[in-house]
Formats: sequence, C-alpha cells, structure tokens
Amino acid sequence: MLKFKGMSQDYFPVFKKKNAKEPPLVYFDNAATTQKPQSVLNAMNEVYTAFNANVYRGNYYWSEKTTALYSACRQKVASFIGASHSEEIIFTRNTTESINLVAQILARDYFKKGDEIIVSIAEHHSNYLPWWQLAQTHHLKLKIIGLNSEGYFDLEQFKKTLSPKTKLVAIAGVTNVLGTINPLKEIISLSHKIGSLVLVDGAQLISHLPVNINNLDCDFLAFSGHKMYGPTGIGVLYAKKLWLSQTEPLLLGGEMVNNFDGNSVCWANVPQKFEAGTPAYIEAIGLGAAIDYLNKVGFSAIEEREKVLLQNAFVGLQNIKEVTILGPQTLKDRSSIIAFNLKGIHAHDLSELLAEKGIMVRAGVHCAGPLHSMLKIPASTRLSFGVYNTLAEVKYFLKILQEINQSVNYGKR
Amino acid sequence: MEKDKPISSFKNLLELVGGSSHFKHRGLLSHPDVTLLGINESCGDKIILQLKFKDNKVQQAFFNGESCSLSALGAETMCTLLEKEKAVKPIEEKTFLKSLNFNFSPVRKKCAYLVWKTWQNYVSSKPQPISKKKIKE
Repeated sequence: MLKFKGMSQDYFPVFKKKNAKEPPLVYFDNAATTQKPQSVLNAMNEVYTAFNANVYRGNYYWSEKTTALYSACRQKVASFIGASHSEEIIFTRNTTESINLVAQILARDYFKKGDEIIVSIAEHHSNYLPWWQLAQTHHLKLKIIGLNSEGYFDLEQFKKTLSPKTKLVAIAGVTNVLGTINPLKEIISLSHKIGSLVLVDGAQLISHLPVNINNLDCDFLAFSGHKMYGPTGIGVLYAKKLWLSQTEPLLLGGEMVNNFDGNSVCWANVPQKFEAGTPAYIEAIGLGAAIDYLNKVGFSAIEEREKVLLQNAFVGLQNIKEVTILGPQTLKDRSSIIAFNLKGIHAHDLSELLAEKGIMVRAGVHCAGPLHSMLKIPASTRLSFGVYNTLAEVKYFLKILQEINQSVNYGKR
Repeated sequence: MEKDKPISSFKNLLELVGGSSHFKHRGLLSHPDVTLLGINESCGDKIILQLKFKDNKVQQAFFNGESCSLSALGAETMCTLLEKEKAVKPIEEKTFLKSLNFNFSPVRKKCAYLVWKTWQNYVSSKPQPISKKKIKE
C-alpha cells in the first residue's frame, strides 16, 4: 500500500503510455539515471515560462526571484545532507566534476611527492581515474583496496594499508556495480586518525539512504542531481567551510569575484568563489524540487520499497542456477543494485533480449573497468531500482529471464 | 553462414552465434603473421583478429575472444571479406554493411563495427610490406 502516491508511476510522466498496446516500460537502470516526478518538471518549467533571468545580476523581479530560489535550493541541499552551512554546498555539473574539482585543487595545494591515495577496486571510473592520473603526474602512490572473501570492501586490508603517508581516501558510499554499502563511518574515522582526508562518492548513496554529514564527518561528498530524481547538469560538492574559505578557486571568471580591475582581484566569498560563470540555476531549482519530493516520500518508505524489490530480485536470481550474481551472495549491506551474468549469453545480448520485452537494464562494465578486470569477467548485466519500481515488474523480469535462460541453455524456443 | 539471407531478428542472430559451426572463422591460427586486438571497453567486447599473408595478400583471417553476438557477426563478416578481397587495404564501410546484412540499433553500432574499425586502423597506420610482428595485448 503506497504511503504517498508520489511513488506511483502515475507521478512520473515518462511512464505514461501513449496507447495500451505499447510494450511494458520496466525501467531498471536507475543507477545510470532516474526518472523525474511531475513536481520537478513543473518547478523547472515554471522558471522557463514565467520568470527566467540570470541569478545575482538583475535589479528586477525576475532575477530577484531566480536568485532567491537558487539560494533556497542551496539551503535545501545543505539541510538534506545535514550540513551546518549552506556555504558548504558548491553546485557543479555532476559527481564527476565535483570529484575532479577536488582532485585538481588537492594536486595544486596539498599533495607532495610520495603521498599515498587509497581507493577501492570497486570504484566508478569517476572516483578512480582522477586519482590514478594524479598518481602518474604528481609522483603519488595509488593503493587499491580489494574485496574480502564475501565480496565486501576489505576493511582489514584497508587498516593495514593506511599509513602516515596516506593523504586521501576516496570511497563510494554505495558501489555502482556490486551495490554494496561501504562502512563509511569506520573508514572515515580510521582515515582521520592518521591525518588523511576522505572524499565520499555519494552518487549511488544519496537517493537510497539518508546522509548526515555531521555524523559522517567526511571532508568531501560528491553527488549528482540526476541520480536523485532531479535534472541532469547539476551536481553537488560538499566541503567543510573552513577548507573552502582557505582554498583558492580553480575555475575563474564571472560571478566568483568581488572586485577585479585588471591589476588585482578580490575573490567572492564561499560558495560563489567556486562557481564561475552562469550557474545551472534552473537545474538547481529542479534539484530543490527533487529534494522536496524525496523528503515527502521519506527514506523509510524508500528503504521499505527497495528492500522488497531487492529481496525478491535477489532470491529470484539465485533460484536460476545459470545466474551468477556479482559480489556478496547475501542481502547484508546491499543497496538496490544487482549485477549478474547468465551463463551462455553475453551481457550485451541479454540486455537486448530483455529490451525487446520492455525491460531496460544496463550491460557492460558500468564504468568499473578495474572491478571487472579483477573479477575476470568481460561484462555484466545490472538491475538498479528506483522509488517507482514495483514487485510486479520484478516478477515480470524474472519470468522473462527464465524464458531466455530456457532458450539459451536448454534450447527451448 | 548464409550471406545472402538477412538475419531476421536479434534472436536469430543469437541462435546463429550459439551454433559455432555457423561462424567458420572463429578460432585461432597456429602461426599468424599479425594479431590485432579490438576492444569495446564499455561493452566488454575483446576480439582478436589473426591474419596470415602470402605474397602481401590476405590468405587467412580468423577471430576469437569474448564478445557479444553482434561483434562476433561483425568479426565473421570481416574475416569473410578479407579472405575474399585479399588486398591489404581498407574495406569500404558500405561493402562491410552490405555483407553484414543485419539491422542493428545505433547503440550497437560499435559492436558491429569493432573488427571493421580494428582492420581500418591497422591498414591506415601500418606501412607495407607486412611484417610478422605480433601485437601484444
């Protein structure tokens, strides 16, 4: 029974079929991007159609209104993640840009030759490549934490790898292939004890589990609007106010200066100091509406729904003996992502057969090349759930998968 | 493989790929003159193309590796074409597509084209005559 009708697909225009004869629309690729509720579309459309003007710049009603909404959305983001100050919220394009921004600043101001960075083998390329590249160009050491025998982040290896030379730990809150929930509090506590900064890739975490920055105490948190029912083109970098105020900006241009006369410059205060040029203010307003939506749904309802979907999908997949689920073989510390392979068929082919039946999943390496190399598998098929997915859809998917299995592995047409 | 009859659906393609006897060029040469590697990183396709030459002409072409069925079809098509054309020169895209004879979605283009692109890159960068170097993975 839905507690809030906004979890129904009726609230998401993309699911509206043009006619009843259309194939089912089973969207199981939410880790790639989520669909948008009507309220988010309304919020953005209202700006475009009623009072669009660039923020900060105009002494007229439209600009005042967009500026006020943009500032309010920054505060919404801060409240959503439990940050103490809205100045700790920098708007970027997406998680990748947020992480790269931190990487470039740390490279410029912080890392020294021989310093060590720790990442896990299961990181998305966006939280692996920037550090891998810096290690090459700045003579740093990149240390990789593997998976333990159960398929989780190897905390014991991490404890042994941490050293006084560790200056940054970059870790996903939820991994985008295995769906495992990393022990962030412990990782952050251990890292801080030896003086290392911690960046959390929150892309797969932010719309599935509540985040409280004061509780976590990570130094940086990055996430994307489009993975939390908001629009593309807007992301967030959270960083501590003290660090931001002591750090020189990276991108330079309009909006991030208080004064520049050609001879000397006075940067704007945080957060504008880190937001050069016209910001994606309409997208930020859309993100604000997405946060309103998530707050209305509530994480209890989200977790309840996703638990049912995950459990049924996981058990259903385990009951097909030709299926191999990647990562842990239990539901412990798992979010709503499952990657798997079906014997006898390449992931890409499987996803095409599923798509013919209206089931949309992702196939490939999911921007997690090192993980797939370590697991020695060329590719995998990934399911990832959102608030609007239903148990009926999971049952339909399992039925179709079983039919494909019968056809591929038992020759039954 | 029936070259003249188009593959009617993706399911037919899978059935074709599943029966390895349909792909006459899937395998490994014992002493290839050249080994090329084509990778579609995001899809997880990794195909090895192996060639034997005689008098600077393609004599044998074989492929192997981990790939989706469309990459495998593209590879089989290229091997057939290379053995037929024999010349060590680019294969025209329209010739390749006509021989492939399969309608694929734009998203799958890089799968179908993987070995075609691998060959094109090889002939556009490698000087004549053909050397016996093995290109390592």
